[in-house]
Amino acid sequence: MDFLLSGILAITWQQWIMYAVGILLIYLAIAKGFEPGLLLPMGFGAILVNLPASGVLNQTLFGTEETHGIIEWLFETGIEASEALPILLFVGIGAMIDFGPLLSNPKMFLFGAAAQFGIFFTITVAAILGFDLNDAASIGIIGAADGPTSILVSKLLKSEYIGAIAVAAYSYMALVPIVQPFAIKLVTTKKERLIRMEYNPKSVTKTTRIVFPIIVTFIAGLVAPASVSLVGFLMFGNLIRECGVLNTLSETAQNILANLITLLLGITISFSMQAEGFVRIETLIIMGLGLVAFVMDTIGGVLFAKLMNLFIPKNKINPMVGAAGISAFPMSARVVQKMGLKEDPSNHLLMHAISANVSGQIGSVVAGGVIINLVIELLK
Amino acid sequence: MNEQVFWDSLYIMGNGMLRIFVVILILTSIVMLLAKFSGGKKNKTDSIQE
Repeated sequence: MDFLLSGILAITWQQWIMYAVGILLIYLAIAKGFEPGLLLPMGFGAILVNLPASGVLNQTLFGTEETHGIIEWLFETGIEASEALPILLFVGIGAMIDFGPLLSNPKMFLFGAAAQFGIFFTITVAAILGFDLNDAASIGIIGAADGPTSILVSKLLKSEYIGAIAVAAYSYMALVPIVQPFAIKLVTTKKERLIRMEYNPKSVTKTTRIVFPIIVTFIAGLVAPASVSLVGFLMFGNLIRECGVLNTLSETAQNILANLITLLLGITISFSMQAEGFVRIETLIIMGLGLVAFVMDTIGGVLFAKLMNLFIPKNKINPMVGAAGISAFPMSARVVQKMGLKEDPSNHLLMHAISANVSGQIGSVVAGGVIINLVIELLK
Repeated sequence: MNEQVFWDSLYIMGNGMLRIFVVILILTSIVMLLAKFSGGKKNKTDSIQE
């Protein structure tokens, strides 16, 4: 039994904590349905990478010979070398998005910008708490409410907290139905939540649907060149969907590609959940800052809607719709719809909220690119 | 707290939000122009489906 005992005795107390974290993530994924596609592989991966002398990590055998561990190889190849995994996932996400509600109601676009406020607010709070600029920016991007963007930005800015940032990003995306109602009620009155919005969309031509992803890529690429990979691949996926001549590719991107990459991304990111890097006080602070980011995103979107209402004499905007400008699609739109119906069962806000929510997808990736550009510029 | 990092974060906030709004405003304007010139018409109110 010495072989078993020696293995158990080699486990550090930090690794025991990571086993608990892994099991918690698995529990949240299965029992609570919290982003199971990512949290379950991350949870299981957290256990794999924290077993003593784990074979999923590179090992030096016989003193000199190094063998490659699969998770470490996946991380080095799929994330460190090229950020390929999160970027390729964006092709699938782009193919899933229908920009129709947004294109038929373009003023909702503005909420996709306003609801990124929490990212920047959190960067400042993280700076006040003593994080370096690259780490503060990587923590702030949790507010993008977009896992691939968070992973890519924190990797490019060489943050040492990728693991905690990924866990925070995906966890809070799943907690949107709890976080957002609280934040919305903080900054709205009942009268404001009762504002009715009629839905009279303009039809969207196929030309518009095809030209839109090309233009988004061009404009976003000029303003934030670092966002080209994110925005470009998101829009590439969308163009495949909208062109009408690549239906099988579109279906492949939406289903097989997205599922395959999701499967690999979660377990790959667990490489950054090794105990020595994850079990520290900064991880708890990052979890707290992630919550701040989501709350301030929501407040930013809502307050912007109230600001817009000052200039709109009639057909006012229900401020709750502003909260849907975060990228957590479609959870945020459903939260707003549900809150609207609770106040007035005849006030359907879903399509307005979906327009804002879809805009948030664009706003969040542009924010990621802008942050990369600005941080690199400042750190030169 | 590193003061320089704090001021840099405020610069990122101002510059970053501005750039995002500029991109979004340009895209909004282009979408509205596209709708005008490619003939998008107003629909009757759609029934809401969850």
